[in-house]
Amino acid sequence: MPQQILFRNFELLEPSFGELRGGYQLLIEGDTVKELGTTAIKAPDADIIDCGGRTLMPGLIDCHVHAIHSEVNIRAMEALPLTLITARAATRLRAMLDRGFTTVRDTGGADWGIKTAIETGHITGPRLYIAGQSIGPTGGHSDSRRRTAFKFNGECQCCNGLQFKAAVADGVDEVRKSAREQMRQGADHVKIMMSGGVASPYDPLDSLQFSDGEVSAAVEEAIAFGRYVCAHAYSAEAITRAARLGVRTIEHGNLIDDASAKAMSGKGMFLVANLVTYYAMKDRAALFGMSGESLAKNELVLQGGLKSLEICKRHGIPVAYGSDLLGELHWDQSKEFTIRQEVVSPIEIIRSATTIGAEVLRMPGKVGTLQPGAFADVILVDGNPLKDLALLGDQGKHLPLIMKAGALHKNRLH
Amino acid sequence: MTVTHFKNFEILDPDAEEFRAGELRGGHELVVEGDRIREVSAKPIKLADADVVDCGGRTLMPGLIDSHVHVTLSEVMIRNLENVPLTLMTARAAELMRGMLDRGFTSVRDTGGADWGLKEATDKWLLAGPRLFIAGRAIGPTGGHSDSRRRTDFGMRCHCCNAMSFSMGVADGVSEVRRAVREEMRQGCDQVKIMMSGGVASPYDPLDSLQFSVGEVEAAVEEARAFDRYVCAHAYTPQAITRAAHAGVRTIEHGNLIDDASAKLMAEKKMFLVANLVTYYEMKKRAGEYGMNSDMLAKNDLVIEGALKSLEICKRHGIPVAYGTDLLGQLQVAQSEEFSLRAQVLSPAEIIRSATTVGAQVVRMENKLGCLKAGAFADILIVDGNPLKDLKLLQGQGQHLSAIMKAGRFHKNRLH
Repeated sequence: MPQQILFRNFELLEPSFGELRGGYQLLIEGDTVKELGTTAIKAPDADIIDCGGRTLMPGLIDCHVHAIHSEVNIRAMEALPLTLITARAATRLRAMLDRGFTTVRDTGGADWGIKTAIETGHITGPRLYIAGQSIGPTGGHSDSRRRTAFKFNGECQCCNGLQFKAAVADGVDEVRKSAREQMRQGADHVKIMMSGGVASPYDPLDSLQFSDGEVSAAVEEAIAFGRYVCAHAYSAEAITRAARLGVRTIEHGNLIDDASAKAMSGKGMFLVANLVTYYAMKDRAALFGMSGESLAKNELVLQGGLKSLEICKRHGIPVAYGSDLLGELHWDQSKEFTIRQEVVSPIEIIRSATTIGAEVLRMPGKVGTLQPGAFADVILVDGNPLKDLALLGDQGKHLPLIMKAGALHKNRLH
Repeated sequence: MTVTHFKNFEILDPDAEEFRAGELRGGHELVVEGDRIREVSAKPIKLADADVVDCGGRTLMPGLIDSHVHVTLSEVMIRNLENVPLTLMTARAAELMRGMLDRGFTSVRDTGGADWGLKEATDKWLLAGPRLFIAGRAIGPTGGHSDSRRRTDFGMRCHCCNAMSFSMGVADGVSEVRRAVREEMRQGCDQVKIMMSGGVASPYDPLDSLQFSVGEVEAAVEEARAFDRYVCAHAYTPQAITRAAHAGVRTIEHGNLIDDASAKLMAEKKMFLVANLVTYYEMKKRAGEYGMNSDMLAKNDLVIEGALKSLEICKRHGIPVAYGTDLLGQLQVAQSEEFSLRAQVLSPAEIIRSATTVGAQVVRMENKLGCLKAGAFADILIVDGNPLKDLKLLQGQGQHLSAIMKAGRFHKNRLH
């Protein structure tokens, strides 16, 4: 029989409950939650973990990260070989798990090699859902080339981090082929660029990226392969187009308005918001070489961050937890919890990083919950995060125990 | 800057007289400041602010040097690397390099595969691993030991689409070799690796084939010297060794089939042999399990015989022999078995020098590595006993090493 671990003496934070509940026990078997109940669980062979009255909750889910984007100034990745890109990604991924994120969704850059390395234990990190390369049009948010560079330097996709992270496709046929290529390379979702972005050099923020036909081709291919499309989009117009063309998740969405929110609702769509990156970029991106143009675009979207959460709340659009932090800003990953507090209640924020994240990943019941049958992704918190979300911050300092798929990444309870 | 003060140890200094006699000296103290050894003294050293490490009478010696490894070759059957993207290659290399440092190898010389990205990642401790001296891609001719393509493959893929293309370079003709060598040096290589005879792990080249023409080898040597680098050559047979020596190659890798005539020439030219017996014994035992084919295993049988004999010949001719391993993929855990294999024909002191002072000469870091002199890099092992009496203390995946320090930073320290 696979190894069993029995957790006792904790306050349970199961996101669907809405409050802490005492008197539970949790039995893990192998990589799965076997039993969760208020009566004593019989498991004579299990290792017992006494949680000392701390809060026990499912591991966190971040639905918008870039594991390999180790530079704030994206173009600096042009000078990094994939060996160094991977070594740096290993550091970033370990730090995510240290912060309690047991599952993350990479929205461009991480490949099946990194995903496999985590599964085999060569890299310590969260369960990874990947997009492969993000796909955008020439001159769009995926295209960080210099204006003096043509034909992607005529080079292959793997000579450096910049080429590796993103793909440029133009026209229905190229987009179709690129979406297929990402899926051949093991993508869990297909990421496309539908509006301007902050970190790309030459695309206006309110530009519309990809034509209807190109987006429809990506959606058609993704659905045909059992995947879905997530779209980078800031402006109301880009969001409305994405909703109309069958995109499933909007990434960022800062400038959403009532009309575009209405277009999203009723279609099973999600917003993946990531307010923290705009605050972090405003604070510190210039130190790391981000250009004035990019910082100016950041100002355009920063304002919309909190407002977008209110609009989605009003329209009943589920909002997942994202962070999207580049380079050395990645240390701020958990600050999204406290930033959202201004407009959203703690339990809603925790649901965004658990149950809603699970829905985005199409893994409800498997991650973001401690119900039987879920992956045994467990964190213990020194206190009640519903009273103080900052307990989820400080690089995991207040998390004495972190378990991913039944394996203890950290255990200070000895 | 952090200062570490080692006390209460027996010093194993490969440069000391008594070392040759198999003895250690007590009563020394050693101080590390930053990444260097600041002071070694036979008298007590007085320091106000230092982290004191009481070694409890154990042996203190310089970190080991392996002069022939391949950190990116994570498969015994090289062609399987064709299915490995560089991300996964790097993640596997991380594990292989950590294993080396765990075994006490604080410096390794990669003779084909590791690039400047891995070197920077270990220098900055993004990955825990030894100091790397890199060759970039190993350069060989079409159909030679660098060429693991199928016979049905024509043309080359881009050099970074998978771990196999990443680790090998194929060049033909003087101009291409010259360009390939320059490219590796532009990519930061410490030594230029060329293939001059057939090899075991390559599919279609006879073991006694001569690889590269004289002009191609001379072009590689000329370029390497012009850039202040040197050429190391993969070579098994006396003919290949002789050609390498005449063309100005500095180190012979493997050299199993060396004879007196080729050894004499090497000695005259002050060359080094980097031997790696362990890989042949491990391949014979286990490479079949990991997909190595019978043609390769047959070639392995041709060279395994010569291995111990090559050490005796070099000893007779005064050729310094460095410690190498050359283990592929899953076999890399046997890295420290080379110590006991060599003990059949060499003394423990000679073998330890091969993995310290001789290795330092090969990587041109004499007095900086493989020694315990003031000013040297603080690469230090604390061994639970005297390896001169029992080389097995350097085996067992580092279990007899109480502390391992690289460049002044502890990778492991059980002495608390």
